[in-house]
Amino acid sequence: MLRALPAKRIRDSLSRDSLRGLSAFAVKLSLSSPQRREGTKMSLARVELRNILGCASLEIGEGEFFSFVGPSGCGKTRLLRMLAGLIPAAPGEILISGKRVTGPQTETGFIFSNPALLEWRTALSNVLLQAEVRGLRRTAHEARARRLLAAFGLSGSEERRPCELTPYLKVCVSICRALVHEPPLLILDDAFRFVDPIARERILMDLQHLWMSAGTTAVLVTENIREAVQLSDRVAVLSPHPAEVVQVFPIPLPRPRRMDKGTTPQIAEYSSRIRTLFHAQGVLP
Amino acid sequence: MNSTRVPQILGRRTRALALIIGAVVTWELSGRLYQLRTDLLPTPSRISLEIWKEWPQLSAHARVTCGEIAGGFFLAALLAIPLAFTAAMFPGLDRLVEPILACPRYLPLVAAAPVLLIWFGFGTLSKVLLVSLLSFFPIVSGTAEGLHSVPLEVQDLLHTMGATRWQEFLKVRLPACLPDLFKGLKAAATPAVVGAIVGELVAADKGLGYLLLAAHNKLNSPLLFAALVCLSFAAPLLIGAIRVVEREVIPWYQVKQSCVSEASQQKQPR
Repeated sequence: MLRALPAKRIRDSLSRDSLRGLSAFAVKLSLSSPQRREGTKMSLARVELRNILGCASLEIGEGEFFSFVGPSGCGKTRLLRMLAGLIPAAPGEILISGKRVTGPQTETGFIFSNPALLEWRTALSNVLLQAEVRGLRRTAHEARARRLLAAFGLSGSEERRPCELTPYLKVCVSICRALVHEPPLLILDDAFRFVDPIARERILMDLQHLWMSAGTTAVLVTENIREAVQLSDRVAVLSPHPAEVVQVFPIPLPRPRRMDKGTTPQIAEYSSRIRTLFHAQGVLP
Repeated sequence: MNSTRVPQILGRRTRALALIIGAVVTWELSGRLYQLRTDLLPTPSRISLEIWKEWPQLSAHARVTCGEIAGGFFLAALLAIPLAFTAAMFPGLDRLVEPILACPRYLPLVAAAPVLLIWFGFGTLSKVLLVSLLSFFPIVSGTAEGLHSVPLEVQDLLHTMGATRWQEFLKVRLPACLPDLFKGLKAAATPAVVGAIVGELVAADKGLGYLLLAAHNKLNSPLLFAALVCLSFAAPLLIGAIRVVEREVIPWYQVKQSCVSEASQQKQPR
């Protein structure tokens, strides 16, 4: 029961209808999305966790959106910091695309729970910090940064400083910063914690569109069950500290998942299954 | 709630000015009406007259003191800021500098004045060094505090970007430390003035401190107060100059401050 399902089996288990829905959207987006037209080829990351979180092996497939849901203080942020190579992965090991993680992983985009913007930089130059530090070409990335900001409704606010932006827009800027260099792996540490519920709906839709067009592998940790279900291909449920994977749920729903009449009951169904697990753990009453 | 709110008729500056004018007028009137001992506490009008009469002498001495303060302050900044930067780059050095920063909390550094005077003579140099000794520590601690104010997330972010130590310093630590650096400079302004005056009080043949002592010896209280009035402008002038530089160097900080104050005003009950 503790063993995680390999990604491939999950893919096979997706219903035909949902697969068709997914590919139809992917085609639509690849035609319309500006990211693809740049002609940049992106390699996708495959993540393997070995002897971490109490399971022998957990694999996150290329281009998969994988979430860990767990109660606060169970070590979710620690897991992500291990994944990004910011702290050593003890006692197990982590492999990204076959390579063992030993130091900071630069082939990632990290979105923190706190937007962590530099307050002396404008929204645009906060996003471009990524390109500057990496020594990437400024002109190309500036155009890309502007497009990303526009995708989140920030066009016209590029020159505003973080203190002039709402919490929601700050999170948007931090997402743009994590995506501007087209990372093969996107790491989200409860990124929407400080966003109000209505803005959260918007941001989740925008993020889904971006993720579908970019196709990055994404790992999210969150305390919000519904958010995890709405975004993910698979959701791993974690126990309280020390965190262990209790069960991995595949979520074979078509994308983009809007909180509308058709999708909401299905999302609620998966969420309630996860809630039942939390209840069994004593996390939820 | 509405009725308890005091309407703000005057701005903060106008209120301060009104208070000062009120105090001076009260002083003048009580001096005249109650025949206080004006030989000990001269009235404001008498002091103004003294400043007018003795201006050549006062300004000459003030120029010396200002020179000492400016020189010492500049020297302190020149030593303190690079020291704090170097310490931030090398964690080992940082741990070494930290206990030194606690010195001024326990030691009355101004008491080093006689020692400095013995070592460096009774001229300007010893005063300049005393000024820099006193203003050195606030500048170092301010800068160091700013350099350490970078949140963990930003450090993590830089690591995932593969930033070098130098990039981290240049792109994040340096700009992040500037507000605290200027706070440290402003905190060092008053100790700088104290250093110059104490140095001149101990042994000097020019400067406002010397003038104070000379006036005291002749029991010339109008001149004493005239020197004090001149002296009271030293620290505000220095802080004002630092503010001007600050506004030029970190305009974004002003924007942030105004955002924060706006937000707090909005939260107040109307």
